[in-house]
Amino acid sequence: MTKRVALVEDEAAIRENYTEALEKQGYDVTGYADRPGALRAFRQKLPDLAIIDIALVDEAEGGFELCRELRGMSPALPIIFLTARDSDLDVVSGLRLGADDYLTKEVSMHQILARVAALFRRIDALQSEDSRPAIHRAGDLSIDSNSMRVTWKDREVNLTLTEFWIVNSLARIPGHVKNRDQLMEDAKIFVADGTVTSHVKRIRRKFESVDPDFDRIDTVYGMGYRWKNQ
Amino acid sequence: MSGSRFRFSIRAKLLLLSLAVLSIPYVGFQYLREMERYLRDSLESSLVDAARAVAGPLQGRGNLFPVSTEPVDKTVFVHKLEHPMQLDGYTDDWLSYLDWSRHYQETGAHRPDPLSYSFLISRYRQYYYILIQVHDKKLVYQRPDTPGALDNDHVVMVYTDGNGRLQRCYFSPSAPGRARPFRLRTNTDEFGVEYRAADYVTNISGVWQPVEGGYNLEIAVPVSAVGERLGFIVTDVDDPSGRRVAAAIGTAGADTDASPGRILQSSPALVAILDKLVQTSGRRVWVLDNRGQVLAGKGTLSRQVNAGSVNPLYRLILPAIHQRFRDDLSGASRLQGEEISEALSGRAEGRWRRSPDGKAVIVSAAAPVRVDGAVRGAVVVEEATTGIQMQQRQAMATLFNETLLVFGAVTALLLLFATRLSFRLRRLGREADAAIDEHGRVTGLFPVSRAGDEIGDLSRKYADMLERLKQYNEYLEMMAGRLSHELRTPITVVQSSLEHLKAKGSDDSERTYLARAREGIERLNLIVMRLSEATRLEQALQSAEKQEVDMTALLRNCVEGYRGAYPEAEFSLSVPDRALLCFVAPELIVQMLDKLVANAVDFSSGAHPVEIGLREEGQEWELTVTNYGARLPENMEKQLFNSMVSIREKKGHEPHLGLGLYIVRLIGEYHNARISAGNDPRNDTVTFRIRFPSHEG
Repeated sequence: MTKRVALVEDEAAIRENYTEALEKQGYDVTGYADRPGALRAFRQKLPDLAIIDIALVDEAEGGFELCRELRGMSPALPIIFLTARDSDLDVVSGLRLGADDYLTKEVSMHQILARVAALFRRIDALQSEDSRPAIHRAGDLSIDSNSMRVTWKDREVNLTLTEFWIVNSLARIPGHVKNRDQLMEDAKIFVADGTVTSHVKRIRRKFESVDPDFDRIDTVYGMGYRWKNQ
Repeated sequence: MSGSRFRFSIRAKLLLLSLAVLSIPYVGFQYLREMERYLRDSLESSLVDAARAVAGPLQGRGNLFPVSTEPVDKTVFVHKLEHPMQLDGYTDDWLSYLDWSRHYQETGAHRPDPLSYSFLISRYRQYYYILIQVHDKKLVYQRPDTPGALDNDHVVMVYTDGNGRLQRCYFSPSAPGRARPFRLRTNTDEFGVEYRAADYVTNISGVWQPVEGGYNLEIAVPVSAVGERLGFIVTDVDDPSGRRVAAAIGTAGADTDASPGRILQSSPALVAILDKLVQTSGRRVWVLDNRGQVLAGKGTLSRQVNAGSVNPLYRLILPAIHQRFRDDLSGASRLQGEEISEALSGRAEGRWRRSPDGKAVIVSAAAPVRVDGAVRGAVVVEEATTGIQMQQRQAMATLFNETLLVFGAVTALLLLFATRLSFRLRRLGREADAAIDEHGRVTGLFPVSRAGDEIGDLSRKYADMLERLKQYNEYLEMMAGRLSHELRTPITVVQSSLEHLKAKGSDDSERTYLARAREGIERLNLIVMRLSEATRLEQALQSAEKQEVDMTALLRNCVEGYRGAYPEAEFSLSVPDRALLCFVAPELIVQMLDKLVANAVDFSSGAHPVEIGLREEGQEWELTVTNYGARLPENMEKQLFNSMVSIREKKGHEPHLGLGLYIVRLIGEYHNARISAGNDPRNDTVTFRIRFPSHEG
């Protein structure tokens, strides 16, 4: 079954380039230029995945609005945010809009495709009950690399895709220091150093929200981060 | 600031201006001089009027003005006493009459000790009292064994008795004290030899008293014993052995011995009239006959003026007012002068003259007295200007007092005003200085004055200017963030398009161009990322959390990392041996260090390691990053840390936007640290210093 991807992006050139790239991967892509148009279509039929630009035509945060409305219609629908502003990432995380990932626009097409593919894999893993969860356990942490979900002390930590990959990269080899470049590579992102720092900060915060005493991610100043087992 | 030039503050200028107030006394002084002239004029005219008024009742009374032919300067004028004198040779009881003394002086030969004396004759009821004060430094007394001898200092009284016969009475003492006066009688003894015998006079008594510089002789004579004429001859002998007469002066000149002067007394009728007419104190009235001979006199020039009210300070500054001055006319028996001759020729006239000692100015006015149309006498009214001087002095004192008061008040006001003004200006200066920090950033702490004057305007204009500067700075600082945001969309368009082109497959030449285009777009991406880094950091600072961190360990870790990150560079680290716990946001510190190290590596000459140091200094700790290599340009040390300022001459392989050190500054400011950059000319190093307060938070 062809996966249907909705792309909400007001910049025509980007929209068409992305559409073409995604279609080449075999997705059924529909592009929307503004929020009302996208919303009308979503009311008719929900897509399997939505890629939403935060700033839409006249609405600086129209993407957030659209995300909320979409979540209202379907709690499980995977959503990827695209943004030209770094500061929006904090809003996505801080508002708990329930986005599954967020990317700044300078990321390459490959990264987007990788994320789309990963998200579909996650959904597939969740939907097919019989599929074996590929669970990696390390103390209180368990990582399901099929459904790309993380639990800490048996409670689910609601990580975005990028965050999941960072945690996965760190926790696979506890005690080993991963520098920022390695983490970016593992998370399939290419952004400035500071972004990794803020990603890690957000990850810590998310773990702390399920366990206030969480202190497993260690900053090795000047080098990177490592996962402490105890 | 300019230490070399003399600074003349506003306060000093205003104080100098206040000196202008001191011109008030000068102007006032001129005014007082004018006033004094006016007062003198009016005094003169009032004296002329007074002279006329006194002359009025005397007009036509011929019996009061006898026609006399006697030479005026030989007469002796008898003053009236208010009380009897104690005959003791001392002048204590004469004090208020001494003004009337007439002065006689030896003329001609200039001896070292010239003879002179003052002579005063007065009357109380039936006695004449005579005081002769002789200046004679060498007293020679009569030898005790020669009574009646005259070869010593002696005084002869020559007079006519009641019968008009000329008599001589000698005061020739052999010792101080009561001098027994005697007459000399020439007798012939039984051998027909003439000799002089002394007959002591009993009704005339005298006391001879030596005093400093001479002697006093005080004589009392019954009025009845003396007729019309009276004179004295003072004889001086200075040589005790030779006993030669050195000088002899008579009251009527050389003729005294043969014809003493006439006795003149105030006419009782005139005195009675004057008593009625003249009551002003400090005013003296004379009535003269047609030759200027005094017929009656009343009053004294000196008057008691209250000088106590004048501040003793002014008495020091201003010339003293002499209540006692030498009066040339007191005791005079004949008056002369322009106004008197004018009056005696029929016209009332006034005259100014100085007292002989120059201590006072005397105004006199004379008016004629006519009998049967002919001028038979004159009335002279005199007054010293002491009163006017006194008034002037008091006015001057008042003026000075008030000027001083005004000056004080004006100075105090000006001082207050100037202090306030300079305080405000200095405060404005301080505020203006504080409004822009050492990095040229507007702190926004400029309090706007609400004063309505020029300084207030200045303050408001300054605030306005700072606001515009601040907006411009903010615009500059935000520009990076906005630029990166705006650039991202077109970059994404180009990038995604390029990726499509690449995916479509192409020939080799196209692939080369594609690769170049991709390389370009990656660089563009990097630029955009760098641009937004500062903006991101500013947001990160808002959510940053400080914690206790061991800076020593942190630095060791970091340097390890840098050795991996910059394999071509060497690093040396100097940190304290012990853990240095600091309350900081470690991620930010690391980020700051990253920027400083990146900067240092880029500029390092390569021969020397990049030195990273940490020192604790009192209440502060200091982080330094030093590299050998190109110096910082002069005067750029502070601007270095501003947004979008790049001073790099070296072209690196990565784009530089001048944001690295701006990030350092933001992080430093977040930690309340002081940041500085400087060259060390000794060994060609550039050092960046960050001084953190030790106990922060």
